[in-house]
Amino acid sequence: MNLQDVEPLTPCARGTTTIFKTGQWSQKKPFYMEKVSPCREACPAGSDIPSFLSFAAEGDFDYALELLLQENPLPCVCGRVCYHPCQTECNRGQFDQEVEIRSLERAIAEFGFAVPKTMSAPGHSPQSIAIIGSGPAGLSCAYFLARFGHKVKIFEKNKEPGGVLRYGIPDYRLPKGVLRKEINRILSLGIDLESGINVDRKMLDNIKSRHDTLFLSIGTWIPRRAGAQNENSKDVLHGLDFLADRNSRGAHRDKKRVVVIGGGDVAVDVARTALRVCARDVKVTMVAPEALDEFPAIPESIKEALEEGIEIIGGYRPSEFKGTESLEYVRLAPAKVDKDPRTGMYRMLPAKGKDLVLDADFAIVAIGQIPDSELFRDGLLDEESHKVYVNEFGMTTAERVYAGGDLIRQRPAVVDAIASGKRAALAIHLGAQACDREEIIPPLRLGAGSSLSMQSYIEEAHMDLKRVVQFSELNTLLFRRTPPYIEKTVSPGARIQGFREVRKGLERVNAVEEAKRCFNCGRCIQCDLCFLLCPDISIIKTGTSRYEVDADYCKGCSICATTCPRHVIEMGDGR
Amino acid sequence: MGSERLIRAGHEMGQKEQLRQGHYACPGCGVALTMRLVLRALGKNTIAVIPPSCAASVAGAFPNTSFEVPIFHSAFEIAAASAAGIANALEIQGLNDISVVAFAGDGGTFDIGIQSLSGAADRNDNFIYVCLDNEAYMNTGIQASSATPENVWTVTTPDGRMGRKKHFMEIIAAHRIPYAATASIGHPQDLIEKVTRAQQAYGTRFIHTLTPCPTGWRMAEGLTAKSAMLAVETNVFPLYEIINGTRYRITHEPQKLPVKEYVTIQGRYRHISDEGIARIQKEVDEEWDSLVAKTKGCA
Amino acid sequence: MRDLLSGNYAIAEAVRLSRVQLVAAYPITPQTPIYERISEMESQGKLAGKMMRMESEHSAMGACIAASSAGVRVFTATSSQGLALMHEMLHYASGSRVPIVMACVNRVVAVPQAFGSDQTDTLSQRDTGWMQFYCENGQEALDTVIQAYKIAEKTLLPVMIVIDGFFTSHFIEPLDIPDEASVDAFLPQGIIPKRLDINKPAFIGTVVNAEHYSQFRHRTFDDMEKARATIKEVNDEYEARIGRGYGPVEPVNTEDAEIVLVTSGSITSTARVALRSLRSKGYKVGLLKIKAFRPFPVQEVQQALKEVSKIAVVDRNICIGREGIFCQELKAALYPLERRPRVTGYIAGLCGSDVSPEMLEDIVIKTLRNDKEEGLPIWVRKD
Repeated sequence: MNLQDVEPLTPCARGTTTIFKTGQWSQKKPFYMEKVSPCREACPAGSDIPSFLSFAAEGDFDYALELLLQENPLPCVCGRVCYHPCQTECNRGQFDQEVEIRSLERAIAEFGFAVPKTMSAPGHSPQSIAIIGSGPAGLSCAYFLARFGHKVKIFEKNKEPGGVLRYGIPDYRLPKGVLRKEINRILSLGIDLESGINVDRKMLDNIKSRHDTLFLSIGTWIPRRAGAQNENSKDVLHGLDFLADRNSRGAHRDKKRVVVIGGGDVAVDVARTALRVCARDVKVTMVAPEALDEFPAIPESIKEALEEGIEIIGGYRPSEFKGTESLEYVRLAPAKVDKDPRTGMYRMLPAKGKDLVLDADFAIVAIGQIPDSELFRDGLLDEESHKVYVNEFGMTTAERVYAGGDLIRQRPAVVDAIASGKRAALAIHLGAQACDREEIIPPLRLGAGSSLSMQSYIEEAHMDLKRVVQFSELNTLLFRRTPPYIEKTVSPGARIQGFREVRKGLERVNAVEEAKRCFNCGRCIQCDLCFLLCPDISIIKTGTSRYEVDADYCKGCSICATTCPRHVIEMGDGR
Repeated sequence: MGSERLIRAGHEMGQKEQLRQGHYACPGCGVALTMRLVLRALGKNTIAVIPPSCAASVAGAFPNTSFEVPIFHSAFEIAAASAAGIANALEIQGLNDISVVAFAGDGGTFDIGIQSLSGAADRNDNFIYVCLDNEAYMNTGIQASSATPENVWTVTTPDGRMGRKKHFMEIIAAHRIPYAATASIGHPQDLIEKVTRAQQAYGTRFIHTLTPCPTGWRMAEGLTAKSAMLAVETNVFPLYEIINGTRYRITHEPQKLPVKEYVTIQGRYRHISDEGIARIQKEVDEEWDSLVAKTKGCA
Repeated sequence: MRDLLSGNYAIAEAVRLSRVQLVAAYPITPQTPIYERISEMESQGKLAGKMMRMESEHSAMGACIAASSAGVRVFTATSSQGLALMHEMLHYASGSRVPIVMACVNRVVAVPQAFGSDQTDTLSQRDTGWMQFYCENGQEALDTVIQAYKIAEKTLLPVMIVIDGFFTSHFIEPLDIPDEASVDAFLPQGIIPKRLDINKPAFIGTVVNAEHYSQFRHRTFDDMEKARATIKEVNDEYEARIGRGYGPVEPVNTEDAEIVLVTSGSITSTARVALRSLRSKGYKVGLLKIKAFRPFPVQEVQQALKEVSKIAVVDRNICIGREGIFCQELKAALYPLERRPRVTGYIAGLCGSDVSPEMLEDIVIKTLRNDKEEGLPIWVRKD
């Protein structure tokens, strides 16, 4: 006898419950909608941080780099010098400590290998674009335009490309070898570079007539004057001049007492460079009108400068550089900095207190730069800011002329320059397609900001680009508090012997661990939690990178939506 | 060790699944979810034993079943004895690669089922006993059991239960069975790993799972997994193993969140006072310290 | 072969001969020697399977039902309180249609607490859907256990073998133990259905609705009725092979009897002595032993008693609120007859108190002399 013989005698159920379509119990059904992470919204370049970190977390640095390069052509650079607004907004910062995104960007660029992908767009008609200046803005614009298939030519004044990346940032922050490789990756897209060409106004008109579009990214190299007495004397230099002219550094080997005026990244680099090229026992002091905790420079750089023995004083501006044959001291008057409520621009004002006198045999003023207005026709520059005016797409008031980088009114940082180049490239490309920029570009902006998702332009993604995931929307219960992996640095004593790179970069295994700390806010990383936690087995794995909902059986309980660590799933009225 | 990151865990669909769709569990049912995960881990060569309980309702009504594996419907108080009988029968027939698993509720384990479980554990009969603890007799309408925590509302303790929740892991440890563990559906990786480890051992193996019940705990249906996670992260329900009744091993380091976060999302704790919460916090902290002390000197 | 064995040990021998694969039990006086003897057999390697030393009788029956569902031949034994504790699971076994064989050694059910023989424990379970066979002595118990496995496995209904506590369980007599080959030829192995089959998964024992419930119960009812024929077939086969057989009833000298004494269990042996004595004194008395209590042998009882005018039923049990249980069942069986004999019930031997041949003779004579319809049973105790 077997089971069949027993079945008529005592209840043995062999039918299946799948005949009951329990999906009819509720209209509510979950749907997957990826959203923007706050780090991405804050990143001017719109880097898809949660996405590339998810691959780095698996050790797939190649694909992580590929994703990184989709939105930002200069990861080796940004991974070293960026002021990382992403980290300030990182949701993990409200859990334990922010993810070391900048270090990870560097690690990915170091350990991964990828070739930037061409982006084919329908109805393509290639344009020829001339770019003036091969700093980060120009390189970025060229990069995206070349990927769109346009013909790009860059005109560079100096012998080598890179602009402020090469001539403004010292090796100990950005080694030249690294920069060269990064720029080659961009140029290898077929971009034409002519260096050693100083474009004046007449040449500019000529270039404009021979190309469809012009992108101006010459940067700002003319130093601001402090307005102090004797500012032009021989022992007083200005910031970028000092940094750019490497050959003349030997001339300062005897200087023992250096005063640097300024509180920004250039000033910090000036101070740290002076420490390395002046006398062995040189004393370097940085003075800026801002309060000490409001210096515009990146906090890590200030920390490293302090470690190296640089003295930093806030709340003063120079009134006089004094000396008979050579510089003997600098007189400084109390000052403060605030924002002009009318223009929103920072302004310096006198403050109460006594003057400060600092002994000095060498002074360098690094309080910012302005553009060379010789190049520009009337009307291009904005009188208040001395910058070129551009609209939301990077267009100047002149026809077929775009601008970006430090030249325009935005934060004078590398990643902002990259963003301006990217934005202009897309606008130029859409213009070439005769597409409506007003219609296409705004939806690509991330969250409430102006960063663009190039990925979403190329590939229609099922993402809500305007929704930014807040910390309170995450389910962090399955994460444990762990300290971040911080890059090691060379000891200060060893550092100042020369210009070797100060930060060592994360080791590969630590980079993987640090990438795992990323919550991947708003992105589905296929963690399978929704799949595993459905009591009705109604989350289906389709074999692609997406999950589907089995509406025939889903009871709308919303465990998946409530539990998703990344807030990807929401409940809706069944479709 | 408990997962901080579940990435591309590669969980298979299809034939790994031993629970079918279309079962009649309430939306958000913790019992259905637990059985699904346990059966996934155990696989096709399994015979389940289920007493009258919510689990039995999930398993189906004649002539349909929601399980891909055979089920024996035991009497209420003897899931363990029935599982033991089947385990011995299989051994006698030389069928040594079939796992026998009993799914019993807290009532059928802590109260009326304790004698039968104790007897089976004493004999070290070869099966896995999974206690689906939703902290009350839910199938009959939310009556209190000895698994109901102090202060909790049920229909038979409308002013909040007076006694403390029975410390069942200690009772089972006293039987010196080869493997005992706590598990939670809020930590599915940990649960699956424990079931797999249990499956590889021989003898009576006990897994105490916390299976929140939105209906009985008076909370939104979607909070099932999250409340289980909170139970673990607040140390109300720590995740650990006891080997041979003496070796303790904590399998998940909790975040040590305040118990208030766990208590306040459940309507069954609605009338608890601040002093009540403080008392719970104190007990939870003491229990945790005591658990940690037990792990000292264990490999 | 011949050996001196108590009734309990005889049952243990039958369990061994039947190649039982799983024994799950719990000790209770006066069943314990069965449990002990089987344990000894297990340690001597004489048992075909395993023993489970359970923590209660309720669990013991639970384990048996589960193990039987998984396809092995099972056995358990109990008495009194243990059987009462098992009550829930007796219904369970019958409804599950599992071929369990259980030996019950009659003992009073508390309160009052006592240890002597009394049939109230097993008779209280009459509604649970088990077959019940009341054995007169150790030999019959041994033979009936072996037959029971065949009956149970053919009908998929559980069977209870009942013996008197102490009188039969502990009484040592010379018995005939069948040889293994003959029992093997009689009782096939491996025919118990494996219901818990991973290749054909089913939910055994699912909750049903009212319609299905009624259908299943009706089916079990019909199968119990059909079992009557199976009981007879099996007995005839056993008799042919081994040389001993028993009917569901055994009539002795009932053909010309004016009065028939109805007994069960060990009292029957005493009744045989009283019968001979009464006959020698000229009384036209007969004896009807009832062996099968469930299914109740209605036809056989009617056949044996339809011409008899008076019947005295001796019950070693009492149903408070009614009367002796064998008496009650007998009356119900005789009810359809056109001419109903007058039935008088006697309560005797409760808790193993002595029932002598003289007492039985008195009962017969008293019944003969009495023409009144006794509504209530007559309680008989030794003075």
